Amino acid sequence: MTDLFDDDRASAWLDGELNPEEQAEFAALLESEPGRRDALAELDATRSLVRSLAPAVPEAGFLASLGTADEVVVDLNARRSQSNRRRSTALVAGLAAAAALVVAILVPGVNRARPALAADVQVHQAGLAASGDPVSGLAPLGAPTGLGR
Amino acid sequence: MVVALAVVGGALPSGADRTNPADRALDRAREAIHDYEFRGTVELAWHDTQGRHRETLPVVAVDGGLRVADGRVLQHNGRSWLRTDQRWTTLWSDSRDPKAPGISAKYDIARRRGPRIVGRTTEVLVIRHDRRVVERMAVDRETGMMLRRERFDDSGAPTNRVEFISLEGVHRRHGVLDVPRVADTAPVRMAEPPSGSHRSLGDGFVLVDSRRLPRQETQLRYSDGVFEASIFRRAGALDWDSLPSGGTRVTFGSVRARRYRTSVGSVLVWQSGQDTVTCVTDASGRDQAGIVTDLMPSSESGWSRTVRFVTSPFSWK
Repeated sequence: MTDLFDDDRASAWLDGELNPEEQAEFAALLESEPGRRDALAELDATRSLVRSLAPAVPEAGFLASLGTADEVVVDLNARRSQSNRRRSTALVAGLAAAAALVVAILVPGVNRARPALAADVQVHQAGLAASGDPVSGLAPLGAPTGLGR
Repeated sequence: MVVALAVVGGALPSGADRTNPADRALDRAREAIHDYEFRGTVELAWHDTQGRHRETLPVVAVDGGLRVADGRVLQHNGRSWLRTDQRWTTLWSDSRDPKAPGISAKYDIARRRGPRIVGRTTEVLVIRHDRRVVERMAVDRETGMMLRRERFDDSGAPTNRVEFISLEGVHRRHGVLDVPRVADTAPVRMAEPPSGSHRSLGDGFVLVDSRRLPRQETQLRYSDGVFEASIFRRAGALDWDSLPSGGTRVTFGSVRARRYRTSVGSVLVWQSGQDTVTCVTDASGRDQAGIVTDLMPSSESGWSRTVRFVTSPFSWK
């Protein structure tokens, strides 16, 4: 049986993104298993804490010295074959996680993509109008998309 | 009277045969904007999670170009501009891509006499896939203008419709439109798609075009003859907090995405490896699943998954 309390579902619950049926299922789960409510509260608190952190500007060269998470993984992965597999695996995972945490906490906004969905729609429809019917392709661009910028 | 055309789907050609009536209808619809002038109102209707929506917009064809929404959107000979404040943004800088597959490559087409729309006689083209109607087009017999276009989802329910609800002053064009210049920042067709690009996706969506956008972003356009999907790719992990409200959470296999329903179809956004991907498409939910699934990284390493797991709380929303 599928565990209804997975990370995605809990996150979606907190963000109000579950559909009515999923909401009902999840609410019933929380009702029947109090421990889940504690886990959800902990998750919510963690998210709030992380989001409340002020953006930090890294010192010059900080990112270059750290490397990307993947680079850390690759380097340490090479070491793994030279020593005890299980201990190295734990070490690599820990370091990779730590590196990722440092990047995620200290430099939020670095290498983050913020897609402009409305602009994507405009470009897509313009291409559609060029290769298909111009009226049905472009008319939607005159109406609000609800997608922001 | 129904005239069924026995057009059977096969391998999707590039630079496909465009002698079938549906492709000819689209070609004529484009030519009609170039050849005729008119003033009209179109109604958009679509469904999303909030229910049904309708919008009406003025459209004017003059001097070989098309003005939508009181001139906020302008098109001429395939090129398109959007006016924001006092500035024109070039959305598209060239005309039809000859590599787009023909409709008959995947779909069956039936032709029949249509209803009168805004007082004009029409012919209706019914596009089917697996015996399911996916689109109906009503075309003005005299000018070739597309007077109504309806889309249907996997269940057969209507999803999007564009229809003329008024039309007047139809006559041959007189002059030549004075258009804005094409901006240097317009999407530019790439000579070759980025390495590693999928040549096809899902059920018969063929790569027909690749473009370089500002800020090193790319757009890959896929078409199955009737529906199109644009795949926009940007470097960097998706900042979920930057997304507009109103979307719904959807999952395709291991891909967690957010989907928005709009008057143009669906907009999906998700993170793929180190990139953020947006898909804008009028394709059905089933086709969307095929497209997204094919775009999943083929072999995400255990280490990447570890890092993703640890960092995922910071990208929740």
